[in-house]
Formats: sequence, structure tokens, C-alpha cells
Amino acid sequence: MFRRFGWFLAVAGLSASSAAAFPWMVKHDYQSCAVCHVDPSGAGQLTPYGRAQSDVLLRWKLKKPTAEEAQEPSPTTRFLWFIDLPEVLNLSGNFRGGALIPIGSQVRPLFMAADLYGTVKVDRFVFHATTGVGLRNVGPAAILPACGGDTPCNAQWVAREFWAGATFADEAVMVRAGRMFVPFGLRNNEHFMWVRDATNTDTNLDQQVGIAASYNGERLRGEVMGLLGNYQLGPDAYRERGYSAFAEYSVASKFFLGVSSLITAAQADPLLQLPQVRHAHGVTARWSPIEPLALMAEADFLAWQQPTLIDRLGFAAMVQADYELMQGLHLIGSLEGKYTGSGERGPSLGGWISAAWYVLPHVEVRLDGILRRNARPLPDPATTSFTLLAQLHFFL
Amino acid sequence: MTLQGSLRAVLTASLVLAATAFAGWTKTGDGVASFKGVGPAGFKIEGKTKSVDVKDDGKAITVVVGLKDLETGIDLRDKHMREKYIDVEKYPEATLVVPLDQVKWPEDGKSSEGEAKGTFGLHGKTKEVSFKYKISNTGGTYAIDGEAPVNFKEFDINVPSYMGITVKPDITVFAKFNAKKG
Repeated sequence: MFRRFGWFLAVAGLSASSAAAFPWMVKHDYQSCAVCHVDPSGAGQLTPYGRAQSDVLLRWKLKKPTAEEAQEPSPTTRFLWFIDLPEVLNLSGNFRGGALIPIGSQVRPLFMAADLYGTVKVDRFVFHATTGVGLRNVGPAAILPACGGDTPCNAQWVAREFWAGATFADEAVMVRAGRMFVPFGLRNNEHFMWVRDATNTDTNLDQQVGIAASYNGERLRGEVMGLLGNYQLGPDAYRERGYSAFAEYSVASKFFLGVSSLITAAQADPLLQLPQVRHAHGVTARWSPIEPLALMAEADFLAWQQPTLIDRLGFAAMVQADYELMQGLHLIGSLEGKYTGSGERGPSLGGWISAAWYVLPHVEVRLDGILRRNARPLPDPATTSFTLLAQLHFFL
Repeated sequence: MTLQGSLRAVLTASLVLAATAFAGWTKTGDGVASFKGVGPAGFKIEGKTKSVDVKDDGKAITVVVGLKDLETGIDLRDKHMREKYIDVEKYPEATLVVPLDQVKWPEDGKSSEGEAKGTFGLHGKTKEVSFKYKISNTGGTYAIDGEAPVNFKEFDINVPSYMGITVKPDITVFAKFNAKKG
């Protein structure tokens, strides 16, 4: 039973789509994510400027054009490749599918995401919502039908984000309320890496309802969010309330250091049904020493406090190097580690080798090879797995 | 020596002395000039070029920055900047003319800093600007570092706006180079 549930969780996590985010944009000295993304701290729907940059900087080109050869963004960067929208309206979508290829097991086709994004911007006011369909269990992001555990649904209505906000100080400040990404750590594309999973800040599944204020300045950016809980989870005892925040400072050109902090409290954790206070506090770094290369790192201290139990202490960490072989073709190497203080003999360790190819306007092909040694509470031995994850991603 | 010969010798000596007096400031080594601008929501843009030169007419030092090689890190943005806004084919240089007596030139082994006024030329227009500078003198080579706030609307440059992102017209220009006298 437990093995089946574990397998189910693994598939639910892997099959979840990533809300595309590109922290490696540091190589173009883009610190602020708000210029290219509707979310002021990055990930998810692109702004019209972000759409243009996806064609200029992201799309595969055999030869990098010089300034004289540079072309205007292709008209195909528009919504559904060709539709011109009025300035107040921003529509787009995110469709991702692929296959999970565990070595020694059967290939599993994956339907990862089918989401539509809509944003209305009137003067300083921004209204943003997403809606979509998820297959099998998309867990905390699903609205209807409520299901999970050992009985996965075939299809669910998914709403990952819906929020309203207002900008101030020439859009440097945004205050918003609703369901949104939790501001913590790097918004890396590999949303089920342990730094995201162990901190419950997966950009795909772990959105929370709350009130947030963000700042995007010349050298400093950050966001603080009061967490009111995930109202797509029930009963209320499971909802985590508290705060999450991050800040990132530009130490030098193309070099950024950040800190993150999160404390939440819930009346019951899903496993032991005990009240739980959860901590995650960490540091991040992004650096582009030469133009094709971006280096990123995150290290988080973790703690779980429950009455009648000894506090669990742990960590999650990752380092990643993204090398752009030619424009639009990225080779990515990552190392990660995790320790949850649950009686494991040592930390879980993992290594990723990935290739992302932005082959056409709105189209990404990606392959991840993931080798993981999963530490388990004693006396269970650690398990080692190698998985290939192949993805085809359309962003409308 | 005849009178004619003496006059020729005096004239030649005078010309040599005059030429020496005008053999003024020249740039040594590499230099760099840059600008920094900002826009909404934390947007920033930085452009850079190594095309920096120094001229001297005996009264003022002129810093000449070639704009044709100015780069911001994104090719399309460079193209827009050069063609749509600065028009580098017609206006290939930016200049800052500074009267020599406006600046405190430090003695060997010392440094100076201050604020001075000069005439900034860009896009076919000139305007007086205040700038900050730091100069250090090492064996007669002066390391010069300066910055000046500039509003590019005052130079008849259109405000760059692209896909909803508009750059603020107040930018800062920087120059860093070494120069030697004589």
C-alpha cells in the first residue's frame, strides 16, 4: 500500500507542469522578473515584453545575430501564434506532456499540464487567474473533484493562481491578494527538486492564499507574503498559516545573493495528525561569470516542531550550472541533497543532467536524466533510482 | 649667421616650442565608457563601449566616446538604440569638453576628486552638465573616473519604449580611462 502511494506521489510530482521560470536570465543581467512575468517575483505567465524576449533571447538560433542582423520578434510570439490582443488583456496557455522512463520499468506517458492564463491590467490594477485540467492527481492545485491518496482522479479542474493586485512607485511595488506562488528561494524550472519539494514551495502545486507585497528596485528585489493557507485543501486543520519572504540583492553586475525565510503553523500535519510548526530559512546565489554560463545555488535549513516529539532538523540544497551551447539550446547540470531528520542514515543525494531546446516559437523540448539516492528512515535501506523524463512543452 | 638665417632659426625654435606646448593630454591604455538607465518594475539597462579617446586643444580636454560599438548585452536592443534613438550613423560620438582649469590635477602620487562643469555633446546637441570625478596621478599617468547625470530628452532623443517598458529619460553616463600629459 505504502509503495503504491509513494509511486503515486512521485508521478503526481513529476507529472506536474512547471510554471516556466528562468533564473538563468541572470546571464542577460535581468535581475527583476517583473519585467517579463505577470507575477512580480517571476514564473508563470509572460508579459508582452517577456513574450518578445522569449523570441529574442530564448528561441533557438543557429547563429547568434549581431546588432546589425537582429530582427524584430517574430509575429508568431503573439497569443496562439498570431492573435493580437488589446493592451489591457493578456492571454496565454501552458501545455506540457511527455514520458517518464524509469530504467527497468514500463514507460509512463504523462499529461502534465493544460492551463490557460488570463490577466487584465487596467491602469495600476492587475487581475490574474489561471484555469486548467489535470489528470491523475494534481493534489493541492485541484479544485474539483476532491480526491487523492490511494484513489487518484482521472481528471480534475485545476486553478493554480488567482489574485488581484495594484502597483505603486512606477510598478516597483505591487500589493496583491489571492492564491499565488509562495515567495521563497529560486523559482527554478525543475519544480520538484528537493529544495522546492522539502520547503513546500513547488511553483506548480504549492501555491497558497495570502496577501503579499513585492518590491523590484534597481539592485534589490523581494517579496513578503502572509500565508492564510491553501483553501483547496481540507479540512482547515491542515492549512498552514504564517509567512514566507525572500530578498535578493545585486552585489555586482550579473551576481545576486538572496535570503529566504518561512515559518508556518498548522493544527495537524497530514501524516501524524499533530500540530506542526515548520521552518525553512535559506540563502540563494545567481552568478553569470561568462555570458553562456549561469550558476545558481540554494541552501535551506529546515525544522519541524511538534508537541511530544523531538524537533526534526534538516536541510535541502542544490547547485546548478546552465550552459547555453548556442542560443536556445541549454545543457544543465545539477546536484541536490536533502535531509529531513526522520531517522535516515544520511542525506538523500541526487544529480541531474538536462537539456532544454527552445526549438520553435512557443515550443520547448526537454530531457532530464535524474539519478537519486533516496534515504529512508531506518531500518529501511536507501533506494537508488535513475529516471529519464522527456517533455514537450507548448506555451501559447 | 645672416639676419635672414637668424630669423629662420628663431622662427623654427618658436614653432617647436609652440608644438611642444600643444602636445597636451593623450589617452594611455584601455578606457571604458558606459551608461545606466532604469525603467518600471526594476528594469535596468546598461550600455558599454571601449571606444574612448581624449583630445586636448591646450585650454580644454575633450573626452570622445564612439557610440557605434555601444553594447547593452541584447543585440536587438543595441540595434534599436543605435538606429532608432541615437542615430549613430549621423551622430557617431558623444563628447564631454572640460576646461583644464575646472579640474584639480593632483601631484605625482596623490589623488583628487570633486565636481566640475563641462559641455556634453550628444545627438547633435550640446548642453552644460555637472559631473563628478576622481583622479589619481601615478608617475605622470592620470587615472580618471567620472560620471554625469544626463537627461536624454534634452538632446532630442526619443524616450525608448518597447512592449510596455519605457526607459526613464534620466540616465547616468560614466567614463574611466588613463591619460598622460605631453
